[in-house]
Amino acid sequence: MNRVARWIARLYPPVWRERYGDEFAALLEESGVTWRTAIDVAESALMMRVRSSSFWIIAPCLSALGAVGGIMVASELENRPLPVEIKSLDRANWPPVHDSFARCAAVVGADNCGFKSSMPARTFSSFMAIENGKIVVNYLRGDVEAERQARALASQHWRIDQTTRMFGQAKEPHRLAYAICGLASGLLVCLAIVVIGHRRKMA
Amino acid sequence: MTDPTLLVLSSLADGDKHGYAMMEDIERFAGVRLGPGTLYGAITRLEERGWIRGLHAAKSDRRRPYALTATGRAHLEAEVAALAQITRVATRRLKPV
Repeated sequence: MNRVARWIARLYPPVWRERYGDEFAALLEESGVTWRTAIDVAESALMMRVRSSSFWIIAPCLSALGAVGGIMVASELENRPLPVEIKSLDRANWPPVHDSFARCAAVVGADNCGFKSSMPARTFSSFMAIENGKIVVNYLRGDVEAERQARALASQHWRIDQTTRMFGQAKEPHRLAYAICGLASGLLVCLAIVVIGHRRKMA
Repeated sequence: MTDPTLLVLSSLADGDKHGYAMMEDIERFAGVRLGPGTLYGAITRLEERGWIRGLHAAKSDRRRPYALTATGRAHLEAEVAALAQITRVATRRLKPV
């Protein structure tokens, strides 16, 4: 724990360390270091940095840190499920086997379950395809069992298999939103630190 | 009253102390355990304002003692007077009518 505190104490600006470093280290050794102490030291070091640095140096750093955090969170997210639509087709419009196979997602899996089980996307009376960014479950009109299956399939969340990338990437605008949120929160944290630092300075 | 700067000034009012002694003293009279970061944040600000000054530490001791300056003492007296006034009013108003 002492090593943690010594490491955190390095967060203080060099000028401050030069003036107070020795006595501060002596105090840490004498008072002992707990997680609470470590957090207190980290907070104080951050305040000292803010006091000794310009807002325009800290703001971009924290914002970039926030953006990186946002991107990291976003990259861990499951893909957004694609909208699903059910379509019934007449036998006359039913595509030939090779055509429907070419258009259907050969390997699609239920979202939120990973790709634990893949299933054939085509049976004799139903097939799944991606049309205009939407999953379309087609079934043969009049076939009650096929319609039931199609509705069961449509009630699940679907996404494009990222490993086969058969139909290209799904649009994922939410990732950008997370990055922007991270950027904004970094900026907000920076502003909060500046305001708190200023109020403390005034105290 | 947990303003660290006021606690540090109050601690130094009865004599010079180094960081750890201040920490212990403040805990004794105010019941607040200041973290090392908070304590040294207050010390830094007070020294910048000229309300306390660092003394020379003994050669074998890394701990630097601090002393209250005349300006610091005047500030503390003003603060204490203001607090006493607030306390008087609050106490009077809290009394059942």
